[in-house]
Amino acid sequence: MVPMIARKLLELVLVIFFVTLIVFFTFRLLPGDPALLKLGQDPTPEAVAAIRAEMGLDRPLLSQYLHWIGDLVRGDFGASSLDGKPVLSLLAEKVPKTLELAVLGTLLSLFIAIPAGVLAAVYRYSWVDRLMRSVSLFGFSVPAYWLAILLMLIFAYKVHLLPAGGYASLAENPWLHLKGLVLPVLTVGIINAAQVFRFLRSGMLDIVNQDYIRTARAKGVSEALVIGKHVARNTLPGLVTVVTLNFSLLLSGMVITEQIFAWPGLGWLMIQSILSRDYEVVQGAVLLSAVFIVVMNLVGDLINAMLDPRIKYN
Amino acid sequence: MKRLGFVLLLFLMLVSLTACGGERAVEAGADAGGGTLRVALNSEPTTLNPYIWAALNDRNVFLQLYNSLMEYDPQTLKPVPGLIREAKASEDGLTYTFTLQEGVTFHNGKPMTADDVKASLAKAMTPEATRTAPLLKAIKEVKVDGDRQLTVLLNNRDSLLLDSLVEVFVTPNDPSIDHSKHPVGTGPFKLNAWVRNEKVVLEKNEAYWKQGLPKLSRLEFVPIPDAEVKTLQLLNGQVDFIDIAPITRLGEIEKSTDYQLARLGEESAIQDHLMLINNAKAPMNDRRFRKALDYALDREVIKKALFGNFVVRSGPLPDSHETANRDIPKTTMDKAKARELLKASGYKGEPVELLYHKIDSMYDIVAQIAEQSLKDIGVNVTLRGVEIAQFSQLVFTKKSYDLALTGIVPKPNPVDMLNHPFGKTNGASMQWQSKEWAANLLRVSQLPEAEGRELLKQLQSQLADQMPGIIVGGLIQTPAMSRAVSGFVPNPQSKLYFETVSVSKK
Amino acid sequence: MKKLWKDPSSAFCLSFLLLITLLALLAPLLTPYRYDQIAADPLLGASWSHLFGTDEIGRDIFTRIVYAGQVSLLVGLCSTLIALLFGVVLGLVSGYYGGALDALISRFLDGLLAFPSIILALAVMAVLGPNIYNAMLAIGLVSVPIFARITRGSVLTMKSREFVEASRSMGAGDGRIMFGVILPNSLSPLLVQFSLTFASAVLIEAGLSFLGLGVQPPTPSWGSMLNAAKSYLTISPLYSIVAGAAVFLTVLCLNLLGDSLRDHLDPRMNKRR
Repeated sequence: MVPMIARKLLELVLVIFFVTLIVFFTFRLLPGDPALLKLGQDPTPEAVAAIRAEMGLDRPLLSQYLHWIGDLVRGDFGASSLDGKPVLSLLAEKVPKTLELAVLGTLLSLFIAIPAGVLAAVYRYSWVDRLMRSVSLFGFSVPAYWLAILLMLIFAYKVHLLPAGGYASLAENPWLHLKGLVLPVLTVGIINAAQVFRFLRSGMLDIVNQDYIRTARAKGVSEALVIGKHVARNTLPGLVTVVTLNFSLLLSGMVITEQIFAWPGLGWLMIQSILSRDYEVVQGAVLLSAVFIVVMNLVGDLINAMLDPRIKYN
Repeated sequence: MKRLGFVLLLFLMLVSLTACGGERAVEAGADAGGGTLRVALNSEPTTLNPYIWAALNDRNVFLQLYNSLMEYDPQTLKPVPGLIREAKASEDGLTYTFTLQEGVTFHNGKPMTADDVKASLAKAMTPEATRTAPLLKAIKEVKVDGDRQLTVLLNNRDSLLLDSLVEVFVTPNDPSIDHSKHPVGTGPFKLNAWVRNEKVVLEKNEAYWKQGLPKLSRLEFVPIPDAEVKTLQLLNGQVDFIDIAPITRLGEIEKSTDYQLARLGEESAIQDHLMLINNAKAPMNDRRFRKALDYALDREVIKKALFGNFVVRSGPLPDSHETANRDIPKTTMDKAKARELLKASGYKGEPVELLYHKIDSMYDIVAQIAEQSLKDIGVNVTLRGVEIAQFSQLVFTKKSYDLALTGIVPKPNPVDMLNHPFGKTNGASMQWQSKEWAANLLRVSQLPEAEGRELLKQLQSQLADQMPGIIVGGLIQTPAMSRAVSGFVPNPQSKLYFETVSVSKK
Repeated sequence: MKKLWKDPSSAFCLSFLLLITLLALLAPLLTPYRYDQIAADPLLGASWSHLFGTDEIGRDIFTRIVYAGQVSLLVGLCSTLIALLFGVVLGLVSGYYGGALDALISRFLDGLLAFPSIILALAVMAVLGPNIYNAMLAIGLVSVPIFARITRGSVLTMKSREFVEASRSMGAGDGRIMFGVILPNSLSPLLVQFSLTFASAVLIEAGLSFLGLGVQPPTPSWGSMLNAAKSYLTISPLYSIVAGAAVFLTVLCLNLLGDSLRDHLDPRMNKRR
């Protein structure tokens, strides 16, 4: 176990190195000059040069990159070029809001997908299975922003039940905060449930057809017990992988969901800072979410290693 | 598995907890005092620094925090006293003496003095202050003559000096203050909190120098990027005011008993949709080619597609404006004439790119209709929509574009209405090779009034003749608000002033 | 393939996809309008001259839907092909040679996979400039890692099999073994993934349009039409419904097809009760 963790950690460092490369150089290649965005219209070339120097953009790219990495290693993520706020404190402000949506969305999706997946696996290839699959494909096939607007039109415009996006802080207005959560969580949850259901169903079908399950069934163990005990237990590692893998899809989807619900999380921050060429914030935010996903995958691997059915069944 | 069950249970409880809310979501704005106004903007400000700023959202938020030296009368759009209580010009127009308002204090409690005003003028004249520096070129020297007295010496006459001072805001003469983060002004509201992408909270300045103002006790700006969601929030009572009502909802809001629009009359619409032309490049360097484009534009279709939020006109001044040159024939769409001009210019189907920015879906509509109009007369045009960051770089710094569409917000005086599109600001991008025209325009404010007006008319004729860029039409954007909001005055420059606004309790 | 036609749901999907492809290909014959032609007043309802009404500037929605089919299907197809090509090559090389090269390629792909895909696509589009070809590249790039992973997985299980050993002992070179022996034997999971990636590519394109970096107007794509339509949802619901249905049904069919392919190609799945 220990050497495996050590190896995985080493891999992690390598992955993160690649991520920093991609993050830094992709965004620096973006056309558009942040100095111009700050100065508004019709700036003199001298004014642009002065602002660029102030922002440290006049140095060669490689030196900027090394500088950034050096600062990162010392735990300094830089500061926003818009309001001078340290990137770390911005991230600390945004990450919980995104995690709140992501975690609740994941839970909701599991809540929908696990029963659905089990049903579909028990009644595989029957009309139940078909129905479940067709319904799940709805979640697959609808763009998030579309679903979001539709939900808002129904629950905020037609029946004034829930807010049409927007964020109220939990401390100041807990009730409004909770109501504000419903539609974004539904959007995230519905879309994510489709993915989880799909993985789950095929994972369970794989196991249902394995020899030891056939043996159990041949021994006269009831189908409910087969599914409930053997299959469920053996699907668990798969489920962990699905959830951790899906978290990355989820975070990606969050970019659009947050933007449309005006939910001030990490995804919106990324888009905002890309559009305003706030390099340090983009770099920090994307790096953080990438590292988070890499670590999630690692954790998923580790949990799976612990849960590996072969260890238990041998 | 058990733990998972527990988490699921917890979530179930949460869902049932949230789902049983029956009442409308209008909790916001229910605190004591003059009430809270929640204003939705399409994005949050990028800075609150009143000297170096770029986006209209920056301005609309910091307008509440600072006062300008002069203000515009909302009806006549002539400059009236702001922080300057009295302005006297000498006979030759080269010396101004200013007396400041009494009893004005900054948010930090310090009284405002002539020294602060001098420092603010100096900040507004640095090259980085691109909004104001060109306007204040005439100023030679600023002298402080006591706590509330200043003398400003000019290099030359400038009848627009007081107009220009509407753009100059006053901050303390204290270099340790960083206004982009911790703004300190004399305005009706002070900054309470700014949470990125969540809200900018302003609270009433109790020591405000204007008697009885502001009426609100709290003002919140919330950024909502999607226009549709912004409207839904208004209609759902989550916000009280939206900066721009989507064109698709104008009818609905106008008819509603709960909401209202702050519409500006077509004649007060001084903002323009402008087509910049890179006339240093062929085929745009031919006057006939440029004129052909003007005749080709189907302005009526644009008006229809924008639900009437567009003024059909081809000149930079509203038709009713006192200095508008009425001898210039208005351009009405004439495809035959356009094709003729195109042919005469010797155009042979060279590819031309029409650049625009995607800051609002309105521009997508204008750009696509303009593109079709040009295609119709045989211009080989392709559209290219880019982010605003790239647009400014291509058009204003690199000047590498053929045609470009943008919206402009000039000041409400005829010189700036000409200067903004064709003079310094965008004219520099058009590379219109007429130094003389620009020099003459600058002279207008140095001349006695009647002569200045005559010169303005001549300048307009030259524009119509040379067509360095094309006024596609008047740009209108309409704020919408709940009926509970009163005292808001729509502004031709889309400035949002909230000091006189109040919100009645429901 | 024949089996697919016998299954009613895959038969439906295949016919729908064929129909929509046909509509897209035959677009110029099906409609009297150009896709960018302002043919009438904006936002008209359905009529005989405008089957699905007109859009926000007065173009025929039916015309735009069929032309948008060309764009969306082409973007979906090409981006998936790009992803397939690069993914397969990277996966083969990294799985076959193993060692440091494998580690490097795998970690790089992990890094790519760790990016929020829409951010990566957005950045690539913004750097290269928004047009249909760059959309293919950007969306393709995002989907490279998944193909690479699948291929690498198959290579690892197959590398030590007898037939690979056999062809090596017969003197086949590395390239020959990779592309001639291993690849043909790992086609079925790739085929399944192909239809799924195709479906998600259509959705990513829609997402890019939402963020203003999709295919450039006036060229229509289903995503950009859906995005424009959402502002007119209350006035002209038909506009949204038509655009939404095009995306939805296509993605749905591609996904269903992927499922059926998996059921038919995966040998274990054939052991039905």
